[in-house]
Amino acid sequence: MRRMAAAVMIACGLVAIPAIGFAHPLGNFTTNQFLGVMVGPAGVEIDYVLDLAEIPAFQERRVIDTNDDDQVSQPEEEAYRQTACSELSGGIGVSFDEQSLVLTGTGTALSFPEGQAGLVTLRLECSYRVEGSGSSLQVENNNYAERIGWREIVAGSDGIAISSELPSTSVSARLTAYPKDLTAATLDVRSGVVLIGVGDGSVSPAVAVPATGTPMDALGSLISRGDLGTGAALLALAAAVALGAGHALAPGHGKTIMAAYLVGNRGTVQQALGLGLSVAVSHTVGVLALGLATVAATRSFRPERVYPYASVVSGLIVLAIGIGLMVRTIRRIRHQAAHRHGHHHDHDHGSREVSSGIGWKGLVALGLTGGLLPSASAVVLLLGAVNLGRVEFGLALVAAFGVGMATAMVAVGLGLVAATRFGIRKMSTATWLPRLTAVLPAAMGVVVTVIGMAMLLTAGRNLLGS
Amino acid sequence: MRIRSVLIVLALAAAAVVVPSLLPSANHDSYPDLSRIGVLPDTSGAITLFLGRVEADPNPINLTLLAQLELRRSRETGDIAELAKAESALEEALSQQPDYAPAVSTLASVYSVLHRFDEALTTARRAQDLNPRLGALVLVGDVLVATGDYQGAAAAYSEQAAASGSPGLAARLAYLDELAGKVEEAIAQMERATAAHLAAGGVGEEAAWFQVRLGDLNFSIGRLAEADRRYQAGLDLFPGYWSALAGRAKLSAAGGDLDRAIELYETAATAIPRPELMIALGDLYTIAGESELAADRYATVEVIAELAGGVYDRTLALYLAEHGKAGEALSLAETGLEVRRDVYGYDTLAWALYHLGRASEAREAMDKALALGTRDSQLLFHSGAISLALGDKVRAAADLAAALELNPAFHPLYSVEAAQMLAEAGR
Repeated sequence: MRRMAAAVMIACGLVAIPAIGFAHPLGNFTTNQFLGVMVGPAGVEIDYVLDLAEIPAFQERRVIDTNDDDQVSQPEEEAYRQTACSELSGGIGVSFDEQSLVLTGTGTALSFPEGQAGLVTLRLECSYRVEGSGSSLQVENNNYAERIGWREIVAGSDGIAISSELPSTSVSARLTAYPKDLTAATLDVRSGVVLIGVGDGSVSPAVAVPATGTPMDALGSLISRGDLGTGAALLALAAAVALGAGHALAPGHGKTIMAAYLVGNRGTVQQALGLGLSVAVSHTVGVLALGLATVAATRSFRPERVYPYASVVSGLIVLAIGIGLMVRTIRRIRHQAAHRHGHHHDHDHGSREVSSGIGWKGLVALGLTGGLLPSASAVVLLLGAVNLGRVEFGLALVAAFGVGMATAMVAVGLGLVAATRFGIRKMSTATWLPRLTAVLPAAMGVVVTVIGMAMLLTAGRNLLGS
Repeated sequence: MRIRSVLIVLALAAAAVVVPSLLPSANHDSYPDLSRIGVLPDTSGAITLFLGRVEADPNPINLTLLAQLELRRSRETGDIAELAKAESALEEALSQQPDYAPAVSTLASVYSVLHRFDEALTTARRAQDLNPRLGALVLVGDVLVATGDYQGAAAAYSEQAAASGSPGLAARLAYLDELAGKVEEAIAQMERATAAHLAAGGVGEEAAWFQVRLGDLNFSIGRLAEADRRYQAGLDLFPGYWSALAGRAKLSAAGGDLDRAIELYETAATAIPRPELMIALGDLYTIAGESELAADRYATVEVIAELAGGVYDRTLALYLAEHGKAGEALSLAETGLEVRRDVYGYDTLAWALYHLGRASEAREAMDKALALGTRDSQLLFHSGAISLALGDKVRAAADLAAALELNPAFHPLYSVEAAQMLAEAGR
């Protein structure tokens, strides 16, 4: 009951947000356009509206005022309406079954509604007719493509059944009443398809198609797309892998600890693989936990408050690993000292104890510290996907992100293993080498311990500071 | 045993070097600031996403993240109108949870962009008190720079640098160097910051901003090829970026290619009709003899500035001073100076006074503008012109020569005027 009351309060809070005092959804620089298509049996009626906010209207009026007397006269208006509507028709693409058709002007209207600061805005309406028919109608608006502004396309029918992703009614009432509440997105619909003679004529809400950019952009924008083809999905997953790899190579993620660990233990290829994998798995789990906790308890849960605690846990684990490394090394040195004193034991001196240090448990723990602090990028991606009801795809992206991280971490680890081996081979003639290789794990234990202490200190400071 | 202790010491030293890279810093793995980081690089797509999230659950986090995205888009497009929504979203977030530090900090950024410096300063300090890890001290410093308190700003920046450095902070320190006339140091600092930002995965408008800053710095000392390379890099990082286009236009004008310069400025101004772009176009059309087109572009300047509610007052004042409205320019400059007593505030005042024929007062104001030792061709040109009006030919010649030495083609109109004045001062 209390939860419900809270929900009602939030809803009311949103309603109480004051309407924004701009005449246009994006401010007084904007060039806003509406394109309505009404499909009939023999052709299409086009209703195009251009709404220029104060500044473009001011510039346009200087164009209209051909005799430069600072007045827009009746003949000047008349001439402008005809020229402008005829020019704008070139930017409106209408085609039936990929056969593009010619627009014929059927009417124009021009007015200058009052705007801010004593300036006027400009509203130009152009009607056109297109003769033709077909099974699929494509419409696109390429006018003012590079300007900031509202772009809306709606589709309706007269006497025939249509089906379209385009909405049938205008949310801005043909650019006369822009939605002013906080959650109103600025529409940016530049094209659409209307299928004729199929469906029950029902229409789904408009989906803004985000602009495409670099492969990285694909990640953010693809999950917000309504339709997602296989190619696009693969591209997004590939981008997630790349993002994950880049993320793993950024500072942090225990690469230094991993280096210390692998060098100190003269680590094996398997260990490098194991480390990378455990980082990826723990990171994915961490992102999921944080993301789902945020979704489940949005009101009271603050993800940023988790970070200091996660840092403390990371620090503790690293500290434990460091101490473990030191203890192991000391034991081994004692053990070897015992050998030198002639006590022969009958146990296996194979690589396992000596080179694997604290073993697989340690590896997993180390991986955990690398992945425990989920990347903000991955959490936001997941939240975005969940928000759009595309949970599976979000999970797949997070997993791909983890794969990218793992690949990068494994690559670094393998490089370190190879470098360590190469270094030891190079130095094998040196007489001090046996001492060095004996002491190196201990030294690395110290390094890891110090890092753990520093992480704990910082985490503690952050906890107290925030 | 000795080797062992040496190794332990070495290990400790190594740890001292690597530990800082492991510590959580303000810009890594803390909760996302969507106005800054490269996550969800497609701003419009991300805004659509978070609009839905706010609609489903208007909690302070969602509202703040949405506001941060709006802030980012306004940086990308150069359109401050975007910020009205950001401000409403933040007010709503703070009405639910008044001490939600990320919302307070973002609000301070919004105020700062809108040139509401008093509110920006109070809000940034409050964010800093609420959560020092958010790095709002940088915002405090930014407002202090904008209002001319350079020492206060330097103190805020260095306090922040001690807590955690970042490429953004380094870029701000570079600006302080630039103002102090240490352009070479500023460039070196900025180059390091840019490299660090890219290495940390910087993308989009933010990455392009670093390049454009480097372009501007190099242009200011006449390194045109390097400036061109940087502006181009900015455009590659963020295609269509208005300030990179303006940079390339500036370079084309400096190289005498008026048509190309006009084309580039027109492209930028179509995307975002900012007053400085309109003034530049007016100037270039004037040089090209297209007086009608020049008048068209000039005519928009006052309208745009008026609608922006004071944000462009400084640009407007300089424009008015040079276009027969020096009285209006003076009152704008004086009003501006009440809030911002910085280098360019005094320069604007001096230029308005000069155009009103009050050269000795202009000299006084100009000396304040040059107090830090700023090496900016336009400032030096103003200074030289004022000295010439006062009959101080020695000072005039020195300043004008310095302006032209930094970059012989620093401005399509002013560099020509500066050369003429220099000749006059030499007589």
